[in-house]
Amino acid sequence: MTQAKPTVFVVDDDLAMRESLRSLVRSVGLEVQTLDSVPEFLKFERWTGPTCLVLDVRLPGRSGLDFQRDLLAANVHIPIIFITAFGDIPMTVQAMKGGAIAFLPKPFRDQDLIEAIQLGLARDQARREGETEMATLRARFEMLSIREREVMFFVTKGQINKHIAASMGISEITVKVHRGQVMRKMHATSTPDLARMADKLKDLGQ
Amino acid sequence: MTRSSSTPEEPRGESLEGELGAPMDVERFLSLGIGIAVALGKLHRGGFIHGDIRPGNIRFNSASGEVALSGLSVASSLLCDRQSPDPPESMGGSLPYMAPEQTGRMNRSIDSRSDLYSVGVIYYQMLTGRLPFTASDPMEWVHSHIARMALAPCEVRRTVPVPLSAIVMRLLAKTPEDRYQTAAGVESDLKRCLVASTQRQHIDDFPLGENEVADRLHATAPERAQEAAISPSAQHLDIGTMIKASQTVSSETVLPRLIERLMTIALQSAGADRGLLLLPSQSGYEVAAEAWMNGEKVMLRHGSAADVSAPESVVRYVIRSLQRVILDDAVRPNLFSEDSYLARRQPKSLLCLPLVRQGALAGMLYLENTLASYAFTARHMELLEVLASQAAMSLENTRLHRDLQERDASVLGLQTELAHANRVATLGQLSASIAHEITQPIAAMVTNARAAMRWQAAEPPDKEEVRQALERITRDGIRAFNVVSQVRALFKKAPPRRDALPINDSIQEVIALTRRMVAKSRISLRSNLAESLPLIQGDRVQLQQVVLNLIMNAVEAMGDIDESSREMVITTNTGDGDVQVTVQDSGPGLSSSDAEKVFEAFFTTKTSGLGIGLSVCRSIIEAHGGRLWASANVPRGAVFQFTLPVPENIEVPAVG
Repeated sequence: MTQAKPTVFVVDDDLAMRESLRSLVRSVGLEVQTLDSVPEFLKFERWTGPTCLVLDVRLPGRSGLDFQRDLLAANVHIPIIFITAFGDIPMTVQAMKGGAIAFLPKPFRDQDLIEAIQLGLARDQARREGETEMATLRARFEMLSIREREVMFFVTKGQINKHIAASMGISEITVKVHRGQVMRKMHATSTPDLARMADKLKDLGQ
Repeated sequence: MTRSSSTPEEPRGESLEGELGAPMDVERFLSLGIGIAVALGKLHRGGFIHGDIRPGNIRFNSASGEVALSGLSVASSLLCDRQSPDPPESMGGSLPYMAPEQTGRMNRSIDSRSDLYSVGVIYYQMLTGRLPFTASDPMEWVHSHIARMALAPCEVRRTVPVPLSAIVMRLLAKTPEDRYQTAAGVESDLKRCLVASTQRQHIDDFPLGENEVADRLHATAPERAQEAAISPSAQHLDIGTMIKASQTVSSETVLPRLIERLMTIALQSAGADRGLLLLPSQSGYEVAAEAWMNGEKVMLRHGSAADVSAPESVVRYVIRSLQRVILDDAVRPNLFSEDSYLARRQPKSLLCLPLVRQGALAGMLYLENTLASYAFTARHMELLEVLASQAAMSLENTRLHRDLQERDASVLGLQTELAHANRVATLGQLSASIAHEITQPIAAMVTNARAAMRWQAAEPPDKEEVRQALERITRDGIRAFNVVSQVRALFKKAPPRRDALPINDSIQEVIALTRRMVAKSRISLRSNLAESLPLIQGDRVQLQQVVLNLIMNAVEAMGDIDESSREMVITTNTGDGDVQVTVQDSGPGLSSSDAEKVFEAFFTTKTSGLGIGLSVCRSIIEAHGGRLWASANVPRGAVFQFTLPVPENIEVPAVG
């Protein structure tokens, strides 16, 4: 899978801020896109690499905090770093509760912003990888037959083949065959490995 | 009621305040009036000067008819040149009753005769139901006492017997020597009136003050070298004058108005009843403006009548010597007694100040007081000198400004001239915007600087990025400073005026001011100013500032378009009962979202400053009860319009 470069999106209606942030982000070797409003940002195609969003709270039209709420509601998980020329505590609390990486009042220390960006990108990276992983797991699970899934269930419960056979009303040999298939199809390296996969799948309600 | 003679206690009884309002009949007046004189006489003979005689401090016992004085905590037992400090809270109530020498504006000390003046004011009130003067601020009160003549009580009410009226007027003499010298003298004359009134229902004229006895509490008129102590209230009044004066000078840029305002302030604060602003000319000097008191109003005339209106000898002396001349007691023989003007008019005090700029005479200020001697104090001279030099500076600046206009002054300069009359809507509304607008460029500057340092530390350093970052820093720094200076300008408040305005004239003035610059920008300007527009009520300078802003915006908007298609149209008309003013341009116009946004504080599409203009313009118009809005012009360009309501009853002032 090709990895696109990490990109930072900056949304601020003040031209001076956009220009200075562009220069700063590029100086640490990151790609950056600057936009002056949320609608502009939404028009942008979804980037395939890790991204994070540096967002001014006070924007014409929709406020940054409202946009954060919208994103959450739509299950979009882009990490957000808020910057603002004036912030009060309720605003900060709301932002952080909504899952923001950081809330930085202007003028901020550039190091603070860069660290927040790096954290955000790392999180996004991890999330994407996690998503990929989940997708793979699920796809593999889909390939299991009903019987195989039953066997997997009992195996991850810790039962030995003999008991599984008894519970399922099949022979022990059949259980061994199914077990082998499960391990192969799920690409599991060991029983604990399979168990971890099962946990993850359980989070999805399998 | 018994009282020890050395420590008076606060007496009880009704306050005289309750008795005032409607004029009293003669009997009641005499009964109370004599009681007051008796009580005051006792106080004075006990060695005390009251210092704050007013109705609230006079108590009487309806049953026994006895009158007593309260508020003695401020009474002073000191003689001559010491004044007791006025408690600030009571100053308001005391102002109508303050003797001229108590204002600190005359070079006189307070003595027992000051109390008599206050009694005179109270008698006046008792007999006529009104005060001898009315005023709306402390400065006006002071000026009334020093320089205004009140109508005699018998002229205000026909039923007041002439002798009683004369007694009151004698008490109200500006100079202590011209008043009754003792309360006993007053008491004696009032008793005589009482007898006549009871016996014969009529009081004949008689010579007043026959039974005067000299009082050891009298102060002698001091030499000019001595300074009378100034009470805090007088200092407070001086500061008031200073503030009023600076506001005047900073808010008026049209020369005739500036002179008007300055002369008015000079007259009022100096305690003069007539003043002249003189300018040097070929023949020596000419009168630029003449101001005088007409009842309560200050009248002003630019230039003067053909006849001699100033003491020549005094003026020429000032021109020659560049020294000021003060005559405290002009009727006494002095250096200038031969002057025909002085012999004819006989002012009691006069003063002539040279206005010197860079060693040369820029003008002269002549003031006189025909009612009171010692009206112009040395201390007050400093104040007058400041006022006068401000006048000289403004005269010079206005002349310079006119020259500059000839040589095409910059847009910014013109705007700054008229920008002083800005007003801010509310502080709260603005502070959020201020915080935001200043923080943005500052934050950008910091970010740019940090970015530059990183570029600098890269392997290899990126010089181009560093250079660009530094340029952005410079630009943002200037922007931040612009915001700060705009905010400062906003907070310089001038008190808003509500004058009857023919708006066309005001607009014509602004058009004239900008004519050269508009022509230079190759803009064709058309004005359609409706005839016979109703008068509106407002602040001329503020409204002119709005019009100026709109014109300047139009000029800038059309800066980049083809020269042949630059058109500006200024229209006035009536609509819906309002007066409407419209400024149209043929520039790029405004998008529908910008049409409202332009009125937000600090919004600007220009690269250089003054984006504050339109939001303040809107608050000015709204404070006048009107509306200001923008829309698209046909076929292209922008239209800025504002309305001003036409008041039902409009008050047209007599002069200035």
